[in-house]
Amino acid sequence: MRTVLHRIYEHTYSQNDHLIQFCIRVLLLILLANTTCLGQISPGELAKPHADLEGVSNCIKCHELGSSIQNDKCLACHKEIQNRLDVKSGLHYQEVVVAEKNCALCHADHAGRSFDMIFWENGKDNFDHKRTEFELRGKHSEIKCEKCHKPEFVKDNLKIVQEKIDLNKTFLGLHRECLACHVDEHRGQLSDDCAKCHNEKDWKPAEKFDHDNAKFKLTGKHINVDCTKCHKPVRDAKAQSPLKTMYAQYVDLDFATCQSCHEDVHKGRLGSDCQSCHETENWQKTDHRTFDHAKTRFPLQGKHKTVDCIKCHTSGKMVQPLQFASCQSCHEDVHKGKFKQDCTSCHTESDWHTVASTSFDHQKTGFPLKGLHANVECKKCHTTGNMTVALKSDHCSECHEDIHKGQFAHRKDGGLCESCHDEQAFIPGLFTVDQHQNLAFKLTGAHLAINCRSCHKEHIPADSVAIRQFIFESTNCEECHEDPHFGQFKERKPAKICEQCHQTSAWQELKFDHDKDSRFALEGAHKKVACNDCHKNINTQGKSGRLYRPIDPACETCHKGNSSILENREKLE
Amino acid sequence: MKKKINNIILFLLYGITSGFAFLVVRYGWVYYKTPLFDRPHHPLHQLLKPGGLYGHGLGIIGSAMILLLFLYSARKRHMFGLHKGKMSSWLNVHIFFGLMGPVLITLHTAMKFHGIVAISYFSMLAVMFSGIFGRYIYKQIPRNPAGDALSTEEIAEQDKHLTYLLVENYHVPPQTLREIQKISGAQLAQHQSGFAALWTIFINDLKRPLLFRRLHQSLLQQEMKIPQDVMHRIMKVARQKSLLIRKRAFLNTILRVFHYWHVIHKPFAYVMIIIMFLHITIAIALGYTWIF
Repeated sequence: MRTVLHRIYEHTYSQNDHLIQFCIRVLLLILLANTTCLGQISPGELAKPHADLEGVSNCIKCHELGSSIQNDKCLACHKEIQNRLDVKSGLHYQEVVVAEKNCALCHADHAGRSFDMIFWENGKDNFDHKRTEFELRGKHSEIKCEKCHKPEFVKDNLKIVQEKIDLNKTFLGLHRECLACHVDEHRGQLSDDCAKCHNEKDWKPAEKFDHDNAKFKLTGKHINVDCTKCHKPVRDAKAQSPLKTMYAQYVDLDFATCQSCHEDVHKGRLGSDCQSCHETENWQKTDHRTFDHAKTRFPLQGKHKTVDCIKCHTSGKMVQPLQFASCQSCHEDVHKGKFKQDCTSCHTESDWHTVASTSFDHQKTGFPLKGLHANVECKKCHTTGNMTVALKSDHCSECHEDIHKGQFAHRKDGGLCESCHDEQAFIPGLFTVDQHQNLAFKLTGAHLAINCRSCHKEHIPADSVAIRQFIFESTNCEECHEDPHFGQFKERKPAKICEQCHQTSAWQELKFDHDKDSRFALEGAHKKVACNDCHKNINTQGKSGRLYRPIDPACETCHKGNSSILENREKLE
Repeated sequence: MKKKINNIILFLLYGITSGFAFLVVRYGWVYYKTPLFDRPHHPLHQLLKPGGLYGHGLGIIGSAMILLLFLYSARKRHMFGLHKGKMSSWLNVHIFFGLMGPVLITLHTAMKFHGIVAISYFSMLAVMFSGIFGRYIYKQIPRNPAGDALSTEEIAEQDKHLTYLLVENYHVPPQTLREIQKISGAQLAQHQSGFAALWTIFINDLKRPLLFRRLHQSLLQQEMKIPQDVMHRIMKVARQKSLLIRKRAFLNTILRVFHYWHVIHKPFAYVMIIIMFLHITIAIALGYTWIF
């Protein structure tokens, strides 16, 4: 065995073999050297972003001696990532700091020049953007990455932090505010917090916008009005995009009054507080209770106040001007133009039927109102209420009841009231004493001094009203006066009337001559005797009177002891 | 018996290591199939990449096997107090490490061969394949059961013994002896050298089973009464003889080839080990210490 091995050993290290071995070793050395220069100790070519780190001397730029790859080495170059970690925000903060992952876990290298160091686990399109602390919702989740991650949206000055960064490829530098990527359609009019009104599903409409949060609360019909109706587009002089030159104006709008947007159909006549009458629910619907018609050219007065608006504004359009210059514009002239005057001269708005006497000139009618007639309420005569119906006014009896009950009908004038009365006052009448003298009973003496009613008394017939008597059956004194003589002189033959003894000047002034007019001439002492001494009072029929006749002229009649006088007296009694 | 035990142990070692390698391949098949470009993103990358938990471990085990390969050289030179045990046993262990080590190293590389360490790897493959080749050549050198090479006298003695067995014990006719001689292919040794001779040997190894079957049938036809077990023993001896004849005929050529084989096998081994150490040093320096 040893022999064989020796032989092998000797064969191996023969001179020729030494040369062969030397050649092989040199070859290997050359290969080794070349490989050392070219292949190095790197397990593979670095990716393109790290291409400048190739070379043995650069290994420790990424690899920590004794500690493999530490994040510090990576972050020493990738300052833009370090910034994210410093602010404790973003994907790398979550992965490196929170999850304590090594950079090389996601970003491997030594896989060749064209190796993509950014690994999208489920594909770039399926990247869970929530990991970046900015979840993509709504439309954001549907768009491509490049729509947002483009240089013009990079707000952070990454070039300062990382000179080599390619803004076309980086996913850093974006801000989360809406305006970081989106043009402010409102041109700074509104809050920067777009999420207050908008969502990411659809920019329009702004579903979360509540107009109640604005200074102008939408009510009624305003709610359904398109925004652009009020918020008109305004040209943006500083627009950078030709597609976005207009924007809606949302602030500094004049809304203090309705006229800010709405045309004042009332032309300012009714003031500026439209809401005092109108409501946003229905412009046409007005609360007449609140509408001050006084502001119009036709202030409502009287009954006009209670009339429903539609009665006059029949078209329903309250703003449509109406003719109101004259009452006939609305009301029918029941007088058929007879009066040819302003209705208000007689009528008022409080009550059509109530015509102020001061307003209606009854003088122009066929019956001028005079005296008391002027103060009488119209309805008193115009009992039907229809003032336009002409009343018969030829005679007083057309309106007035003959209180004399036809006592004067026998007269030639038929008993016209006007012959005794006028309209100034019914009482007293105008019948004069002089006129009375034309009557059958002429007023003389005391009759002249007494009140008419003293003779013309009222009496109340059965089932009738009181009637003042003006017609007497006779002109005898008994018609008025009571016979105080108990008819003593009627029985006389011939009967003797009052006038024969008495006279109207004074009842007591007798034109009685006892000597001539009686059967007992007063002679002697009888001339000195008072009448009462002979003519004693008697009570008969409940009344007290004096006995004048028949008195027995015998002496005994008066003088006591005279039985005939006494008997006569008894008869009388 | 001891040999049997050794064989069993070897078999188990091969089985365990192969099985282990098979499991790793099966587990990481999808990863290994993935293009290098996409591997960093593969879920198994962190485990199976060269510096990964499994990958790095495979590399360490494989490297340990590679280092253990040199024990055979030390044993051959009685270095480090190694002088016990049969060389054949040592060789078997050397071969085991030489075969399984590269397998594990290959799994460690994850089929990624970049940088200077790739030279080590390919050198390792050169060493491995040259080792396989060398093993083949090694087997062409007649050896005793201990694995020691036989001398020329010992070879002749053994040939003589085998001939005796065939003729005296089994009464094999001379024709058969000639046949055995012919099957050995020794007649070609004179005209061939180097790789041509190796090729001839290789072809002979491929053809020999067929040729011996024919011989077997021929013997059966000639000697119908030979029991099967006897026939079996006859054929066994015939094979040994044929092989010995061939080995003796091609011994010089084989020795020469074996000499040059060392020139390949060793330098590449040196390159492999140097770069391997460089690779390991850099890896440790950069912090890749596996679980340690």
